[in-house]
Amino acid sequence: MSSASIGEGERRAGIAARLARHPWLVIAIAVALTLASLLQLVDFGQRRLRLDIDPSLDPLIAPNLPATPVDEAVHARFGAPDDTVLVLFQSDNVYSPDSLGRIDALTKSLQKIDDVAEVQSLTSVALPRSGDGRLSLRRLTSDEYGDDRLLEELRRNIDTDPLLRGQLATLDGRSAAIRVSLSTTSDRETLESGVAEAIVYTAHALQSEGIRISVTGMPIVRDATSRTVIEQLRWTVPAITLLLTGLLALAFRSWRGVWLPLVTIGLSLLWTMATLSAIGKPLNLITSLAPPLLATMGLAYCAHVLTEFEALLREPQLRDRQRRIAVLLKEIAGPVTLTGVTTGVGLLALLTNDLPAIREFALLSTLGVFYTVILVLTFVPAMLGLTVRRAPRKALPGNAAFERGALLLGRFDIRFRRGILWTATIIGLLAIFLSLRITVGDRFVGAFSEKSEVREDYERVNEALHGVTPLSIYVEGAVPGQFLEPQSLQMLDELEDWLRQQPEVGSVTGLVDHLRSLNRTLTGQQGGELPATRELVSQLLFFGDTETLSQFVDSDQETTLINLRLTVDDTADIAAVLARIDARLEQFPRSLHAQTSGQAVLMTQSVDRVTSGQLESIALALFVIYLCLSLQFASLWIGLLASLPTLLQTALYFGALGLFGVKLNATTSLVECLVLGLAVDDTIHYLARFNAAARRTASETTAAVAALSAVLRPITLTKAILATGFLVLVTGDLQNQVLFGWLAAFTLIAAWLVDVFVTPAFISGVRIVTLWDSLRLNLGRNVQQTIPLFSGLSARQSKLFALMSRVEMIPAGVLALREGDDGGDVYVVIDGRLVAWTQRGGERVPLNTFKRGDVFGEAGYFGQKRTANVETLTKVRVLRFDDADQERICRRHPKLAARIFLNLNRIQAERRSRPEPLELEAEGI
Amino acid sequence: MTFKFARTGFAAGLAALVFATGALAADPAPATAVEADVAAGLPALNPAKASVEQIQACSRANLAAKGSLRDVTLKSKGRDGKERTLKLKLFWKPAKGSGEGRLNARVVEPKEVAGSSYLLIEAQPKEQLYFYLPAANKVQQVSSDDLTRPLWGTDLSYNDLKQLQGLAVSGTTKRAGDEVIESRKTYVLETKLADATPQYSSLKSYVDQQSCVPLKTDFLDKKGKVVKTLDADAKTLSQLDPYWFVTAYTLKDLSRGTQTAIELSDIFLLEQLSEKNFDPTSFYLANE
Repeated sequence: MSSASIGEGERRAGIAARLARHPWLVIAIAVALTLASLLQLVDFGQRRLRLDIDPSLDPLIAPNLPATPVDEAVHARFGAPDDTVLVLFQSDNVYSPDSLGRIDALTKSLQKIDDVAEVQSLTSVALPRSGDGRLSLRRLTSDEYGDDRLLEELRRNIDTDPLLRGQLATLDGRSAAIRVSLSTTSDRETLESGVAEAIVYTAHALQSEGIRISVTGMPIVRDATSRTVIEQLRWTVPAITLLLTGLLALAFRSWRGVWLPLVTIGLSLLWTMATLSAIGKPLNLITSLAPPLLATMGLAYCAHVLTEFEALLREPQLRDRQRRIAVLLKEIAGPVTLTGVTTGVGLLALLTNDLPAIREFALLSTLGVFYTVILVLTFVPAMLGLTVRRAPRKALPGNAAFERGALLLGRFDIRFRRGILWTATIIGLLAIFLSLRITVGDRFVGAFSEKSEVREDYERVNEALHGVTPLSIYVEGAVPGQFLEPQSLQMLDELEDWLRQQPEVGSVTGLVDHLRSLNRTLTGQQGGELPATRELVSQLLFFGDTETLSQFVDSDQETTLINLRLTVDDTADIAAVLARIDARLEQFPRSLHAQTSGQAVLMTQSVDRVTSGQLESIALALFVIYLCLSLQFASLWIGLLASLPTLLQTALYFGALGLFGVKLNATTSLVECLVLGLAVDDTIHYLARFNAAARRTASETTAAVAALSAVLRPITLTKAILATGFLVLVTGDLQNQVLFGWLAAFTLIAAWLVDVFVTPAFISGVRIVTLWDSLRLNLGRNVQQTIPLFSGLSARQSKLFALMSRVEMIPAGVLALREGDDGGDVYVVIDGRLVAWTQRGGERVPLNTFKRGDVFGEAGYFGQKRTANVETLTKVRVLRFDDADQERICRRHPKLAARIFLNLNRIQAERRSRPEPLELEAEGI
Repeated sequence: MTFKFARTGFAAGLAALVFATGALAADPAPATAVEADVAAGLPALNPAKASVEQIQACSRANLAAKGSLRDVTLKSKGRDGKERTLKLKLFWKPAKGSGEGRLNARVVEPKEVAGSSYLLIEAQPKEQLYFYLPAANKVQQVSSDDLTRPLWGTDLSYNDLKQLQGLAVSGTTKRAGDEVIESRKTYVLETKLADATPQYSSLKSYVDQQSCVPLKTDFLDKKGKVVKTLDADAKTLSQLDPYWFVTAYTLKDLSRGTQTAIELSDIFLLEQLSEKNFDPTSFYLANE
């Protein structure tokens, strides 16, 4: 392991040097790949992109849901009951001549729109007029609009007909519904045809004083959603780029600080989209979130590298450009690769999600992250090497303020360490408690703001027609002709009665309503009774309109459909009513089997499925991040400790969801995994710095402050870039994207607070030993031979012990120990020389000198007072450990501890065997 | 959800059978010189010079002018792939004096609907339509102006067949060259309907040049997309002098993914058919 790591380090240094020597080669490869990507992505002959956009909402429905087979059966047998557009016409009296004239004009205008299959309204449907053994089925003609008696009779017929009641006109006569069927067969076709948009435009154009027109229905909501997402996609990336360009200009106040990140993200996006094009996948509503994410994240990565570069640029000993780039690469390669890996891990955790679109998003974004990391580690340094010649005289803007701030924050964190950790613990526990309040749910139309036209129209129609959200109940009989039996029809009728009593159910229409209506119209049964015999049922169905009836009962009357409209569109509310309906359907006898179906059911089950996988995804992401950190720190325990800040960030996110009543759904699930990967990046940058500083200063507290000083500026800048990038989404029209933006920004800000306050406070109390540190720590040559305490230990064990203890530097001419002080620490000299002396009769009496390998202070270690002074003669490096260190080593590395104790005993024994008592006494000190 | 239910079906159903039997097309009083010539059995048309009116009149001349009986079997296949069979007997007899066409359709199978009957009487300005439900023992007269809906669980609609037959087509028809269908030369007629329905707005008919029987009709929507097709099985084209007729058709509704096969028996001429079959008060009884 260690030799491999050494090899890895050397190889990395070699690659860095080669990259620094051949910047043109790097640029040439980047240009070649970019040209290849352009040729793949753009059809220059046709002047178009070779990248399809799939605007449908289908990717938001998980496959293989329990309701999927039912839904497919319903579509195969009864068509698509969800796909009607509802146009609501409201006036003082829809039966007035003026209103009927307008309804007729609107109906005709709608009929003229391409891809409108059929329009049903008060003036287009042949309405029943019966009496005296005659049945007339006629449309209203314009010369009848003024016939009050006729209209009164017509209204009475409509209001009392079991099938028409409340469907074409409300009972108060103030609202009329115009139902528009489309001939398109998919969301994509609807969007491309523009039929939904044309219906909305045509309908609203006829709005005037006293006339209010609203348009809604699943095709309208889905079309508006798709259209808004595409529109948002068009401006989001440019807006983010523009905004962040300003931020970069402010942060670096140099051209390279602006154009280099922009070119880098441009290339990364181009390569990513070209790959998508090459594998023939379209960009859908979920994967379209990848470009803004990659743009934001790419800029954040670049900001880290540029900050490091700017710091190196100001180092006087790094005047040589090649060397500067080589050093830059050595410094950034580890953290950038690791942050790329953790971001990728956060994204790849989404692969456990049931939605194919989310899995595609995870893969596409991970690929983009990979391209970005490659560019940041090759193209960016190469460009910096080629374009930057002179070191700037001025420091980076705000650098001094950040340094001062970091110092203050670091000291604050150390001083109030316990307080901060207690506060963090309390907040974390509170967040966990609040997260228990999270509920699962999503809304069809809730994606639009309350003031949007789509939402307002939906709410108005929902209120007037008592429900818009479609839901179906698919009932299967045991034998053909089952629904010709009056007994079966009676059961359906009782079910419909029960459904109508449910508060969320606005309207119910089924076979029994059709039969009642037919019975009334064809046999003159005015009481609204169901047909009493199987023969009469058969004959009524035989005379019925094939197309209409085929939407409710199949040709051999073995299966039937009950269509409902719900007044709610939140999947949580729908889930509640579905649970009650399912329980009621269980009461059917064995001969009938009923299940719920429709978009509402699919969406509800999909949200459940997606969110139930949420914990799985996050646990997986956290576990892999933990593994990465464990590898970095060469300890599963330290890896776990280093993961705690990330756990806190996760808890804060879910706590916020619970606190603000935000529901868990596909959007909110997506945010956490995404932001988890991004938030941990800065923690890794910090910990990497802390590691280096701890090794350099041999003090965790000093290192905690030093690391904060080094990373405060870049992590603040990257978090600001990321948060600003995500906040661009809050200006959009879709509430789920707005929520996405706010939540992502909140999580990043919370992550920044954790990075700045909690992580330094926490980590300053943790002794961190990394594999790399242990390898780098130089205890000098022939450790086992020159330092008796390490006799019999391997080089790695010696270094591990040294780092589990404390390595301290002591300047020359300083008292390391004072006579009479309490003991407790043992010292081993690594480098330098010291002298032990005491006062005798006012005279300074030298007792002994110490050099490499010598041990002093062990007498005090065993509970005595210091018996002499020990003063440094040169600058000295010593290894210092106490009882607590020994305890820790015993726990974690018992074999190592046993050997150390054995060696210590040997050293003591050797001392005791020496002839001069004075010196013997003094050696122990 | 749609609201055009059973009531619209009656007139449509009967007229569908009119087409199948060719009965109503036997216009009692040819109105134009061309029709009179064709009805009088004048020489066949010159394919190169035949006008739209001549072709239409030639077609109408194929329809029986006497009382008759035909057995009809409709086999429809729904979206769900299930097949349903319907058998009817069609009685046709023109009214004495006025010559108005009268058609009685009586359902034979399936058992639950057996005995259901329709009576259609051609009258000016509008036909009269009656139906009888045996389970309710009730006759009702129906009038409807929505005749585009499919009937009886099949793909047939009154208007489809009526317009196809040229009985009540309100629109502009023009010749659009000639084509060969199943090795037979046909006239191609394009009709743009004056009153376009939501289902279709124009028709394209392929009329056999030898017999003037339509062998194929396409129903097109506003965009010119074919939404329904009616195909005659040209192999069943027969002649009962002087009439030509086909005994097998297939009607496909492409938008609904359904189809109906229409099988017709030969024509049995029944000149002594009882008048009770065509009386609104007794048409549903077995009067033959």
